[in-house]
Amino acid sequence: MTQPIIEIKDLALSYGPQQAVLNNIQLSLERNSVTAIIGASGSGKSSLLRCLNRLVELTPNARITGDIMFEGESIFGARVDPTILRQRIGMVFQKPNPFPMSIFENVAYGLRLAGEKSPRVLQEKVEQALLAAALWDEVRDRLDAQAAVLSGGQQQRLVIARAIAVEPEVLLLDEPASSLDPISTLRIEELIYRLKQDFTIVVVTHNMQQAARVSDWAAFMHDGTIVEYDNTTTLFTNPREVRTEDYITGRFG
Amino acid sequence: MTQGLDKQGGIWRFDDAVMFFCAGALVLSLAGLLIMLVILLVQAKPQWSPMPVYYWSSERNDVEPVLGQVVVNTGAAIVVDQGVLQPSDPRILRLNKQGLQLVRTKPERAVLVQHGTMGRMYGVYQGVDDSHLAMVDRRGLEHRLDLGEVDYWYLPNQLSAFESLSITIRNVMTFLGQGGGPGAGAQGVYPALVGTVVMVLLMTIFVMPLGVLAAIYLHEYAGEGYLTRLIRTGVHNLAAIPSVIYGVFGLGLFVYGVGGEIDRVFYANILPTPTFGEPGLLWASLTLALLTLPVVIVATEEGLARIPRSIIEASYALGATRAETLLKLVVPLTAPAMMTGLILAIARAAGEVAPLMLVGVVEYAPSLPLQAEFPFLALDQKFMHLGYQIYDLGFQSVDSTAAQARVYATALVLFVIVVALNGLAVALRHRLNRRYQDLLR
Repeated sequence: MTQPIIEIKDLALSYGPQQAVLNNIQLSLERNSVTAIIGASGSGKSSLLRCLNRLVELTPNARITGDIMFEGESIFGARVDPTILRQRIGMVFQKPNPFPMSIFENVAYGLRLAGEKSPRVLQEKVEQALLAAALWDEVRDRLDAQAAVLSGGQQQRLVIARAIAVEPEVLLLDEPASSLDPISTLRIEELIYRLKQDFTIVVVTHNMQQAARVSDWAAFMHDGTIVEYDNTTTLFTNPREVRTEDYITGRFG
Repeated sequence: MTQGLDKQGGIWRFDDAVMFFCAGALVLSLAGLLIMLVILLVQAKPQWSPMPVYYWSSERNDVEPVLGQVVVNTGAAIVVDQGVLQPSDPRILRLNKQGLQLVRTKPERAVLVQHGTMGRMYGVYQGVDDSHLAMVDRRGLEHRLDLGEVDYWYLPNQLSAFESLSITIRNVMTFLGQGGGPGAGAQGVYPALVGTVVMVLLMTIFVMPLGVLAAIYLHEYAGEGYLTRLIRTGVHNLAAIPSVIYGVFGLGLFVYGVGGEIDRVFYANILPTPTFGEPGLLWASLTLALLTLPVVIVATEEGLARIPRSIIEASYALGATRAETLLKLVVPLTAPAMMTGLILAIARAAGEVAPLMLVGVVEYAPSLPLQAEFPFLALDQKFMHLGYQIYDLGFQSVDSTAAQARVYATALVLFVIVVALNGLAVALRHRLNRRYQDLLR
């Protein structure tokens, strides 16, 4: 692991005095790789993801200690603009959450925020993003239709297109397939595999087969701490910790 | 031990009783609305629709016969409008039936004449030549009227259905489209109609931005503290304050306070004649805006609270600032809720009379609250209002019996105006809703 793109140091997070969520997190993420974060519900996976783009700060009473370095720079620095950080670290949520706009406007939303005004450039970038998200062929004739007419799987690929349209360096996926059927899930996984070329991907998932299929690195979380972090193959075939083994073999969690 | 699957407890069950009471409540509400509409229509009918002209004569010699239209029939007495053909007679006559042995006939050739300068006249038609209409009055004296001065005339007792309908339509148009003098003598309600609509629209312009911005601040920026809860409760309670209190407040703050100050600063040369320092359109609109502000704030805030958290987070995650998220996403999505607030505000404002009496409405204003030059609204002038017309005609005027049909007709117009303004807002909300509803499940 040379030169990590993101490095988490001693990160702790709490939502109020009695509600510690994350404790002593150490993690380094390798460029252009897929890192899976697995663990039971409530173990802090999503909260960790939300720390990476500082979305967690929208939650009232959220308190963060420790530091996260992105490209060698602290994301909590006094001069960091969180909106620029979020343009460079995109995120896709658990439930498809397209905006109540047309398909085109959904993908163009981030581009317009970034100040892109030329219709030609917008058209081009929207097409590229939809192509990259493997949705272009299905929506090319109805870009002006409401996003709501798409199926759940298509909506999820649409929000992925929306996230990659602004060309972030890191893509955070928060259980991107948990609300989808197996075929849509498979398409999302293929997509993750292809997107790895251009992006660093962190994916939170419940599904261990999925983690094993798509990720290069895997972290197992339990009770707000990272129990084990290793190469995916190693973690799944030869875990060091008993708790990890228990979890991936389904004995608890 | 088996009980079987039969219904328990006979035919009349609790489930049915609940449904029955709910349905009963709905029927009662709808019936109330329907009855109100029917009463308005029936009572307003004489104002527009041609009514028969009767001739009353008595067997006693000392009683003169009467010719005219019935205004009110109370059983013991008949109130008759006998027109202005003979200036010496009272226009409205009260006929006490007792001891008179009245005989009522319906003269085939009775004529109704609307005279351009004098008003309405009733007589018995004699004939018409090139320039004059000849008729006899109730005493048999002949009158000749110059046709050039007559607006229209017809024989009300021998109208066909079509003629009757066209006269009704013309009367309604006159009623809606013309003004005329003060009191019951006025031809129509046009100035009051314009006054009501202009005042409501002006109020909308004041209340919407103010209410929406206040709601956005309360919901998005204020946080969830003790103070916010206090303010929110206060706003909710403002909606319950009796409207006349707002009137008094508007009079004190806007008319005497702000208006007086404007006069001192900008119109000092014509003091002590007040310009803005007296009740007027601007102050009336502002007072009503204040009155309806809580409604708009509450409705908008509820709309803001319904926006799914997930799409707001999606916007932030794409690098939007708080203001960008608000303007590009939250506000457009809350538009239907804002329209709901607007509907409620209009419904409340268009019907208010009490506060307006203090801050700008008059019984008769010589000109419309519109003008040709900028700002196109006579903001400092008093104006007429349908609700106040109803109150004034029904309870304040000397011949309120004669104005009865007019009161109901005005009430019907106000009813239609409020329904129309509401309908407009509902249609707008429906359009907005259709655009967004799919994603607000």
